[in-house]
Amino acid sequence: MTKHIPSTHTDFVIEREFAATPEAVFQAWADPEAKRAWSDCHPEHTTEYRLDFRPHGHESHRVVYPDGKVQDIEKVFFDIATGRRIVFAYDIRLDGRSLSVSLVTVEFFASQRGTRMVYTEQLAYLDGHEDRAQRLRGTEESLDRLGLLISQNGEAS
Amino acid sequence: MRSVVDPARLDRMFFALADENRRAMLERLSAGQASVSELADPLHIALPSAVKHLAVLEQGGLVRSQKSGRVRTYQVEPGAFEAMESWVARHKTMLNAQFDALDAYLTGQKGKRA
Repeated sequence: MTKHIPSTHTDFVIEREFAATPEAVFQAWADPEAKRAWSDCHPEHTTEYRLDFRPHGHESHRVVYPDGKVQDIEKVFFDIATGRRIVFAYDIRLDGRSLSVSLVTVEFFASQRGTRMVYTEQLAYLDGHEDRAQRLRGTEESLDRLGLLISQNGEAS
Repeated sequence: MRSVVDPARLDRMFFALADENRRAMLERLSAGQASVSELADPLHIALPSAVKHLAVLEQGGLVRSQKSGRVRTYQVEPGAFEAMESWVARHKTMLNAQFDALDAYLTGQKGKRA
């Protein structure tokens, strides 16, 4: 048997402002076509996408990468308050192995610019699923992308 | 919970990474330890400025330093990129990219209605 590596936990918040009404931002999460348009980072590799936006409804997203790895994201909605709040849980699986399981609350507040969206994720990271070399490579990539995002967003915090 | 990563620690880490010079220093250090001037020279920055950047990286838990004689050398903190930090960093980067796309999508919708 593989050795048991304890799970680790964290939470984080991402706040964003949008020049659109809370209803419009909420709708972009609720409508399958809209949701897919902005949330699918790998449209060319997506082989399956379904969104059933209602309490206890699921969102399923399968990506098959060019190297053959299969990533599955399965989401269950728990609470939906139109224009105000969405609560869901989801897991990310790579080749059938669960990497992390999260509980997310997204809230939409009317603001001067339009909407302030507050995304709060509580995350359980399961048995260290990657070897060290993969991890370091991944970190380098994420640093590159992080740098790119930060230079695009200027000094936005 | 068996172990918890302090969100404040992650914040300090992300802050430390949010600067081009500091990322360049980290990249240089990932090839091996170096002194302040060895880190400052290729970036064409003054020593006091390099010292400040290195202090932020040290507070972020990304590097550690050691003084031998009059020379202080820096090296990458071995445990800096634990599995979860790395995973969360990638995950947050992906979410931010999605929200950039959401912003673009909403802007596009506005154009359609006008």
